[in-house]
Amino acid sequence: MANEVLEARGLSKAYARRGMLRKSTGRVQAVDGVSCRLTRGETVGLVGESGCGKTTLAKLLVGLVQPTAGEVLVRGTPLARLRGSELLAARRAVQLIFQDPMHSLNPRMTVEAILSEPLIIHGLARGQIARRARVDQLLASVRLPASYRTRLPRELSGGERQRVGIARAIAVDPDCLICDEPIASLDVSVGAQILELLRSLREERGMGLLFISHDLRAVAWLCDRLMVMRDGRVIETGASAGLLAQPRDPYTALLIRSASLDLDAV
Amino acid sequence: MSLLTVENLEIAYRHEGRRIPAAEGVSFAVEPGEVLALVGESGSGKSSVALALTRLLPPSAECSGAVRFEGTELLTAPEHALLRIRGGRIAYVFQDPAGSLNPVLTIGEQLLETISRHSGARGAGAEARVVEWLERVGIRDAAERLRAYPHEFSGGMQQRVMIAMALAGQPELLVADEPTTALDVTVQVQILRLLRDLQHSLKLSVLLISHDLTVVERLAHRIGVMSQGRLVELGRAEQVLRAPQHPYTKELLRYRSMLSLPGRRDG
Repeated sequence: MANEVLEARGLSKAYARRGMLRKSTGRVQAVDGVSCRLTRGETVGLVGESGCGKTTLAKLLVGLVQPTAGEVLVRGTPLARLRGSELLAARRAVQLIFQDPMHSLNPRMTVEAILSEPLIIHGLARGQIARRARVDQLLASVRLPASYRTRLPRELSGGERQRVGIARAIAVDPDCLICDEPIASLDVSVGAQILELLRSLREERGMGLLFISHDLRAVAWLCDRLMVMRDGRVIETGASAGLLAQPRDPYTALLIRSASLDLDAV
Repeated sequence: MSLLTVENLEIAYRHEGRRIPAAEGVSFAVEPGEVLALVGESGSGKSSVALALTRLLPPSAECSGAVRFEGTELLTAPEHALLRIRGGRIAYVFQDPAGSLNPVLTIGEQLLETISRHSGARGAGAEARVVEWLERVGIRDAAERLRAYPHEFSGGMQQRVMIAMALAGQPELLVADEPTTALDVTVQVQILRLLRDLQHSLKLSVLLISHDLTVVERLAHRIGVMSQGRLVELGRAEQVLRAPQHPYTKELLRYRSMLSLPGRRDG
């Protein structure tokens, strides 16, 4: 498929479990044989509870963690086989947004420096004038005023920091964004505004979006397709509306009932 | 008569020579057997209010106004009088059970300490109460499990223990500050159901603090909405949820309905 940006084939990651005195006491299968694909313009939601392996999967997909089995393909080529400029291009195509923008933004860098860095690394908007124009444009696309250029992360609210994190990710014009719990540490109203921003960015730019969250309500609002993860495996996948209306797996059904906090139905 | 009356509560933190207000002119009452929820976003002052009731605020906080609990003025009561109330007649459950439990004592030892402190029970009688309370909060094989350490329990089980510890002193008022926020959603449901059932059976008064309107809706009889240190709206739960008056409450409800699942009744 021409539009296909990202594909995982039988992806697995096992960590050594360490007991007392760092003695190995076996292995934890964090991700266990996951296959999935993401195309441009598509929003896929990955939902699961803590410890289900969703963050490890995100790290595998962007190559921050090496799989113990299986492979990640970016635009049809295995990530592990890429080197040099091809690897750089693949990394540019798939960008990541983190849960906690306080820890994922360098506290000593101004917003302008934070947003310029990926442009410099990938040789985009060369020259100071072009770069500054691009930074202003990026701030505008995440609905922040251009005057925020000179601010430091600590001078921003949580929601504003997350907007800067998003601006940094879209700076290199990626084919897809992987968002790992991007609203989990934000207030409800701020989180809802970030969801609205992600939706409109997806529409404006036609990116693919993999939205990872423990919050089924947020995932259901944003995404066309859902994947439910449990104990390292994807146990159910399907179009959002259908999956919510008629879950096949009992665990999916439990998650749906729980998400509305219906105390008498579970 | 109200169990707890809060009048014109003002809280401010001193920080680097500045005075940062956390609560301004907050007044409300909690009736016997009632669940009153304070809802608001982070920084709205709701947790400061919860802590101020029994003078649990850090020394950097200034607090004025009146907090009356069954005839005792808590803000000015001598410390020894407060010791009998705090943890006993007014008990707390916080967000993070792992941070509230002592990691080097077993579950049973910690519960035993609470029970002997607040009920005076000793020996076999106290131990029987430990088992009884663990069973009441839904911990199976309680006689066995009380020998476990906190880290051997999941987050949900730890929170059950915290609830047992809070209720074992037979409080009249339970202050539950974000009791399910740190838990997975399937566990949240279990803990909320436990709180609801215990509130019913013990006819407990509860001050519930939460940022989540859905959590609040499940338990609260009345809802107070806090924004920037002020209680901007207070009313019966159905009334606040159906016909919110304050713009901030309307905003909260708009996001809640945006994020409700299709076909669900809280839409």
